Amino acid sequence: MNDSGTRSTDPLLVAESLHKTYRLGDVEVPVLKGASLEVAAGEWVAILGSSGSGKSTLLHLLGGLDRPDPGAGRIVFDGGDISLQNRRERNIYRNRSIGFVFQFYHLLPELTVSENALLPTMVASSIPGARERARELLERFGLGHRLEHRPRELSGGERQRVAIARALANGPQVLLADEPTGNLDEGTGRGILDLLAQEHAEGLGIVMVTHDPSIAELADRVVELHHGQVMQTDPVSR
Amino acid sequence: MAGRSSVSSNAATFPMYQSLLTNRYLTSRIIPLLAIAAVALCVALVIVVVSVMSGFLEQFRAAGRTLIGDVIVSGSMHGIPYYDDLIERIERDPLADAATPVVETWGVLRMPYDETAAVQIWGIEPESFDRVTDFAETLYWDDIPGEAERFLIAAAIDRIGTELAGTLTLEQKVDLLEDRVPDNVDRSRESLARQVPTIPEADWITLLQLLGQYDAERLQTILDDAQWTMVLEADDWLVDDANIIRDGLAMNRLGRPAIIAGMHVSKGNVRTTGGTYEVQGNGRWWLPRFEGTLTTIRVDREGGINDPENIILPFANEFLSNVRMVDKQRVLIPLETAQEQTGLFEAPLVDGGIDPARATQLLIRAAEGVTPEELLERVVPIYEQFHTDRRDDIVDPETFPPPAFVSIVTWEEMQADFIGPVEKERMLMWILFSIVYIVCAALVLAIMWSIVQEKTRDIGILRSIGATRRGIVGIYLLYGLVIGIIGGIFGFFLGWLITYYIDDIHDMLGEPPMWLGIILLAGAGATIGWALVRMRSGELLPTVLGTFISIPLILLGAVVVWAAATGQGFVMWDADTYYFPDVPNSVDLPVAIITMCGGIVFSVLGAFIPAAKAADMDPIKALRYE
Ligand SMILES: Nc1ncnc2c1ncn2[C@@H]1O[C@H](COP(=O)(O)OP(=O)(O)OP(=O)(O)O)[C@@H](O)[C@H]1O
Ligand SMILES: [Mg+2]
Repeated sequence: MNDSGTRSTDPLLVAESLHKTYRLGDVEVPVLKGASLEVAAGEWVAILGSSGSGKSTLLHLLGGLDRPDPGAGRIVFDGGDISLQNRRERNIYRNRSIGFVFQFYHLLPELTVSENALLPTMVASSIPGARERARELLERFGLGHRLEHRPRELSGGERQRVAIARALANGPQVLLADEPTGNLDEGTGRGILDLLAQEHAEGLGIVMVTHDPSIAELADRVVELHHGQVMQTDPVSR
Repeated sequence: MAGRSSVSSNAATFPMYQSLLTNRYLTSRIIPLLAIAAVALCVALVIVVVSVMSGFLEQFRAAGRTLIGDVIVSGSMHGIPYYDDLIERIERDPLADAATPVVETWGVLRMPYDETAAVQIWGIEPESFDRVTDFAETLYWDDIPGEAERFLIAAAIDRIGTELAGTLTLEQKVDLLEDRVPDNVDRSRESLARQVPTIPEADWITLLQLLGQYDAERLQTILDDAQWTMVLEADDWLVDDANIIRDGLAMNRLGRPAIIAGMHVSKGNVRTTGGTYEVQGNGRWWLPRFEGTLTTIRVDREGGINDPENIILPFANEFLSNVRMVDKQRVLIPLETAQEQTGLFEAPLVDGGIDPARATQLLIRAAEGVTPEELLERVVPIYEQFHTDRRDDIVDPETFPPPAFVSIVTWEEMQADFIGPVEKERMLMWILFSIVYIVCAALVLAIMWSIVQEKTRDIGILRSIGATRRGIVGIYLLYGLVIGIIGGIFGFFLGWLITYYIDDIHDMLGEPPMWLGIILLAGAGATIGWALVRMRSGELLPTVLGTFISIPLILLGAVVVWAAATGQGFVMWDADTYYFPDVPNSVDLPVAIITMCGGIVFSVLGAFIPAAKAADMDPIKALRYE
């Protein structure tokens, strides 16, 4: 995988001066205006920002779901420029290198818990050992007895755990989490964060969007999205 | 890596998540069931329409050949002279199998029950006519139906009455009287024997006839064997049923030239749903036991019209070609009789010489594997040669039609009046075909469109975890394919069933059974009941559904009950319009399979547009979609 030895010298995921402008008819809405961010391998970065500041937009760009304005910034993962990749390469990037977790879980209602968790593996057609890995993850997340249930039979916290298991199914290096606890009560949210911390401890890189500073505290580093730019914040002492 | 198990084995053909999702989308909602039902109905409809139409054309082709052969030579109003020579020349050609002369004219046939019908009269030579048209196979009667036999016995006694009466012993006469005298008269045998001499000869014949007609068995016990044999031999149809067909083929009845009428010429024949015929009055109106009067108008050789001529001929049999128009108006008589009626017979001329007999048409059958067109190519020069060779033999060469005045056509050209409408209906069928498929595709499209709409977020999710656009297209195409396959298979069997039972269904529509109406009304009642119960819970859907289902049921039920009660029916296959008495009911297997595949293809085609829409969806917008 990443042949760099240390995380500080060679960042895994880099966003360089990203610009993103939405067009509403004739009106241009600039959301990102030169946002830059570096995430080292295994690093947990929290992005703070008020509602509408463009946090989700930045995350979608990082995850290759969307592209920055033409010629305005680039995203580099493991030394390769995502914005230059073709569709196929970006699909593989989304499938293998990163995992998305959303505020509203976004599970497929017709599939069972284990099928949801296996979905990225099925999309990739074949990844050796993935089935066992998904099962292992679900069991680790306390869902071993829920494998054949449908998402609607689960609580919010359980659903989000299934979503995280799905995001991790193909063993990505970075997890992109968009307010993963935003829809949960505090206790449940805490459980999800513990789970993320545990994965982080095992070497998973995390980019987490939140507007709750107390949650951001858990991260290695907190940045703030403000006026379309990423502001560095002092590392919070633990 | 070698130690870890691999899941690559089940990723060979369709990516697993597509079949998984297709399966779940299919089984978790009702809409796809509607789509399947719609596809099945479309496929079934096309199979039924196509099968009926192909069956119709098939029947038509078969009938065309059996009725008039492959190539027809028609002379001018003078007819074709020396036709025997022409036939010989044609039959010498290896491409021709057989040829037969026909004299065609029109007339009026008066039937025994004083009914008259305008008929097309064909004078034929049964033997060669059979070689060209398989006429023998169309003869309908090979036994005596119902109680027709007792009328035949009465008629036979009438024929030999005097002779038979002369052989009666006193004993037998007393037996005959015993059956007839009323109760209030002295019925002792002595008293009856005293009366015998007072009864005139003719009355014994009547007594014999009456007993023969009303109690043939009793008559047989009264008569001795020799006498009974005498009765039977007066009409050998009574001796052996095989003689009926024999007489039909010879066009002869009791030594006289006879008529063979189309099955629907006589109103006495009633078609059963099984396609066989019953004779009204349980055999009483069986045409072959009667005589008919044919009235023809002869057009003479100068084109003048002579007085109508009547000729009384017995019937020998009836034929069933299964072409309704022909069965309804054609009667066959022996060629010579027709020639006499039309003036086309051989006649010595006043100023010496002989005018030869003529035929108005020659029907020719092609040899095995030879098309009518190929045969036609040969017949034209044969006629030209024939005309050149024989022109000078005739006294009045004007009456020998030159090749230009003779029409030589294939049966299909001859039947252009028939074929025109059939071809048009076939066109109609093809248009129907395409419309039905478009409907099929549109239904799948609409249904898939709504599913894509509903599943927008799923598409965003799948894209976020790396599903390709092609992968998304695959889900919906697979979805369309599965709907098409299931619908197609159901439609195939539904179409098969409907086609197979189409005559029963048609008959049922013709005479709707009361139970059907009652079931429909009961269904409506049950629906209303269900809706009322569910309405209490405040739901709106049951009310709407109940209304939508019960109203058509009530209307349909009421119509059926009304039709059943008043004896009205809905006849869609009018035999007079379609030439054939039955709706063809054999499923055209290749066509059915093609139709089924067509349904599948169009279901997939219908799925293409929603699938493309799904693939084009912006994943971000899809994710934000609620
Ligand atoms: N497709 C779009 N077209 C136009 N404007 C958009 C579009 N998507 C997002 N925006 C706008 O861009 C801005 C940033 O949106 P984004 O969802 O990234 O904010 P956010 O920081 O995630 O907010 P929240 O905390 O509410 O989730 C908002 O003002 C939003 O209205
Ligand atoms: Mg957001």
